[in-house]
Amino acid sequence: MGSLASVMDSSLSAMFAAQAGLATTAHNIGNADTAGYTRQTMLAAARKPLVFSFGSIGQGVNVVSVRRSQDQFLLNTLRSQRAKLENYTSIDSTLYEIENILGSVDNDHLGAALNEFFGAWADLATPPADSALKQQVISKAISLVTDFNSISATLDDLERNIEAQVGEELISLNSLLAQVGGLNSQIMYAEIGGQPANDLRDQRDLLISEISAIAAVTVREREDGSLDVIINGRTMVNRGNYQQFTTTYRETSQGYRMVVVTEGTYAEVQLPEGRLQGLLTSRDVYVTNVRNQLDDVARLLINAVNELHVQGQTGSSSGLMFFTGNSMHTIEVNPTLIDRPELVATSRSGDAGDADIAQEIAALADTSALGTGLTISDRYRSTLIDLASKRHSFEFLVENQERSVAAVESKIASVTGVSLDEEAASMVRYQNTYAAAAKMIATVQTVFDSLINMI
Amino acid sequence: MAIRISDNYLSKILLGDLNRSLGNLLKLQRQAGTMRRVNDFAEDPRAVGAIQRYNALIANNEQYLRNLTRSSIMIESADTALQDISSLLAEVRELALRESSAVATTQSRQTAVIQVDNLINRMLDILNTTVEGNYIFGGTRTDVPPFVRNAGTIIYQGNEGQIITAVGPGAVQVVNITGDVFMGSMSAALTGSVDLAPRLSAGTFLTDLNLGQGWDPGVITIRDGNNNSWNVNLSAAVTLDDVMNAINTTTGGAVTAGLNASGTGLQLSGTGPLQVSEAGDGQTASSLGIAGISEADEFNGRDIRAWLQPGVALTDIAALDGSLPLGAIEIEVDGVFTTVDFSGAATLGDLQSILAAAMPGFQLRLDASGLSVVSSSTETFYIRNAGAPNTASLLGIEGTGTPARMFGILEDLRNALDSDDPQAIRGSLVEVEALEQMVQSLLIKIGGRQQDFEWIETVLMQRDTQLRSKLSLERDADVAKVSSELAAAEMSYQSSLLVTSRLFQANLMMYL
Repeated sequence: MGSLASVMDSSLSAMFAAQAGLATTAHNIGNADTAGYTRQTMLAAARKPLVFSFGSIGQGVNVVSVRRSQDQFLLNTLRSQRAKLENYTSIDSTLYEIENILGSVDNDHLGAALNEFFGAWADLATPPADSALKQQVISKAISLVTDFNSISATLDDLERNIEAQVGEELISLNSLLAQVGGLNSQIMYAEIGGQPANDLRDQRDLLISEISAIAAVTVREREDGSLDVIINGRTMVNRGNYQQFTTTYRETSQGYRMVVVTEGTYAEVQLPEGRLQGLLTSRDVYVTNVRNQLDDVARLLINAVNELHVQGQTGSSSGLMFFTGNSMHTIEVNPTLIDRPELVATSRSGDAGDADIAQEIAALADTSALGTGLTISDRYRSTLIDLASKRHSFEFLVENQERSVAAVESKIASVTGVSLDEEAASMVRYQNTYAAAAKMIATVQTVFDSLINMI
Repeated sequence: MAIRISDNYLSKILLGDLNRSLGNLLKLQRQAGTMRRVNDFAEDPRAVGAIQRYNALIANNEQYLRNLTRSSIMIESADTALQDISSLLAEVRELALRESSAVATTQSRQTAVIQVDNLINRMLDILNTTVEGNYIFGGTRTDVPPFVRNAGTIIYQGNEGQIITAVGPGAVQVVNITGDVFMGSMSAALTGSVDLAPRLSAGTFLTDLNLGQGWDPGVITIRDGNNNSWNVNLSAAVTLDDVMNAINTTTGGAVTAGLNASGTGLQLSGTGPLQVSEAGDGQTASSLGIAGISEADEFNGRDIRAWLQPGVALTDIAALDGSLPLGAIEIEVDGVFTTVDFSGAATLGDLQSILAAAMPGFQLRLDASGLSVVSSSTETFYIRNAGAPNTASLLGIEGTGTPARMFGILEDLRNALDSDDPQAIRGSLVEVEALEQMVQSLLIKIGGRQQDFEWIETVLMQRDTQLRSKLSLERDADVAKVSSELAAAEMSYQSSLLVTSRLFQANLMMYL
């Protein structure tokens, strides 16, 4: 049969447990707003009872552990969904940049420059002939060419910006990988005793979530508590060791371009979904695509106008090339024409009142060029519509993906988040337990007193 | 189990809702602010395509309207110029009519020559009208005056190029009248220079005399040196034979009438001095070339030869004496040389049919005393001799046939006036009338174009309105819809804010 002392001991254990519970509650309340913090709960278990012939009598409570309420499945889902979201967001924001470069619905400057260029030809072609209008054709052509050149240059800038961003993302990725390696070591050390290092694990989970946003990862936990971080089959963190990424320039199908490689071995990395892949895709696919389409528009314009203009006759000299170059980067107005606008040819006959060439060039504004069935302006417009459709679908993807991420985040917040109501209830519960245990000790004291007074 | 609501969860859900609500509000506010339904490409890609297309179509349409406005000045100027030409031609016609009538005198015709010269110069000025430095009647050669004087004749140095203006996709309107219509359609011509009037014969009709001007029937008085006087009534005479017989019969042989040796006029023989005068107030004697006095026994009348007619035998033409049969001529048109052989011809009519057969479109015209060659083509042609005898020179048609017809007609008229030739003046009158008709038809053509322009302008304006309303449908916000939606969105956002703030305030701690 247990002694009074053992009753007192039981009560004391209850006071300890209530204290631990209060401390956990305080920790939870304190970290209610800490990013990546996972709600902790104190796990208590009844002590091993003393067994007698009549049965067993409990010996009080033991604090077994303080556990994190983490749901690894939800966390993995969140990471892969966030990787997708970051991928889409990068592409969407690049498309938004491209859209800004090309103007807006009300400020479609290249379209306007094309219209004005053909309009200047139409004015030149309209009788009565006024050779002063040749200067206007040249001016409008220069505006158009300048717009093409500046769009090309701005797209170049955009590509360089994207590459700079890739560089910045790599710096944070490398730092995150190094931090995960560091935390792995700390956790291994902290958990030697067998108890989980909750707050360190929270930090590591947070870092891995951040890594996932840059490039989707898979993780594998080892028995020693360390976590391997794997990016597209390549183990980047192994216990306390980690590998780093860097960039280099390689010959690709699109010319000499910046690619992501591993540090040291310089092996090219196929990036999984995430911000990095989004950035590189928007450079390699979306910027390139727009550039190719606008190059096509410029080439069509150059060829169609030149083909007609060289047939022309001005005075004794035959028609020159109107444009030089073969892309929106290289397109220029023939410098000879800029110096001598009178050499702008309006007709095959060279007669002052004849304007067949000018008419035909002006007609390029609304007749199809080079048998494509599309006018030059149509070709440009289809670039805009293509861009608009892509932007539209990416906005839609981003919005949907945001909802998916929010749903998983809510789910996680529901599982791991701190509820102040819940903590208040726990607090009251632990307070009551503590008070009851204290009362128990006071009661045992009274019993002791009675016993002593008997003597 | 009920879902566990953590504070994080609560804030995520509520903030997410707030964001969406605010995003919707922003979008509507932007629509209300810009009054545009579509502000970003991404909002509605299909509408962006349509908006861009409508914008381009509107721009093109505006360009066509601008072209129309700009080019209409060409048509208006041509219209004004042609009206002026028309009134000048009316003046010419009146002048020709007046000067071909009986009231005209040599004096008045000389005055008219100056008037015609002035009219020609004014026409030249009008046809060289410019609009903004462009000659409007020169075809596409708008930088040089289309009508210039070249070695005394007026030539056209423009071309037949049409000046067009674009008035729609693939649609063009011609805005000029080429000056060659004043030339080509009136044909190219080479007027001969040799007097080919045939010798008179007894059978020559009196109406053919005086190079076709005819005669004035009536009674003449003949006196001879023996103081005999006869009134010879020639009213019924038809041929020269009738005249000669009437004189011979009436004078009873005292005065005999015949033709002179060269066959150019009448010759009277009797006792001199012979005097012929009019018996009434007619012009009978003078129109027969025998009015006057001759001191000798012979009275030689003046040249009253008849005009050229197809039936005239080549042998009757003094200028061809000793050169018959004729040889061949060579005609060059546009680098093509054709030899026309006249050796088989016996009459002027034969010459006409031989030329017509050898050179389709070419015509040998018989003028009062000479030949001229007219081509229906607008090309300049050249006629040269082809071996002996120098046939082209003999016929007076060696030279260049230029297509300067309108001015040619006026020059002809001028020359006819200058040479006091009423027959030729009358001939020109017909041609001037034809010219007037041509100008009238050009005016109708121009008027038609002006109507076309007005019609096209109406169509383009209607199209502009249609395109703009379609653009507006795609691009502009529906004010009523946007404002009601905006009010609803604002309400929804405010209620979200209210609920969120209340929920965030409350938790169990407050009640312990």
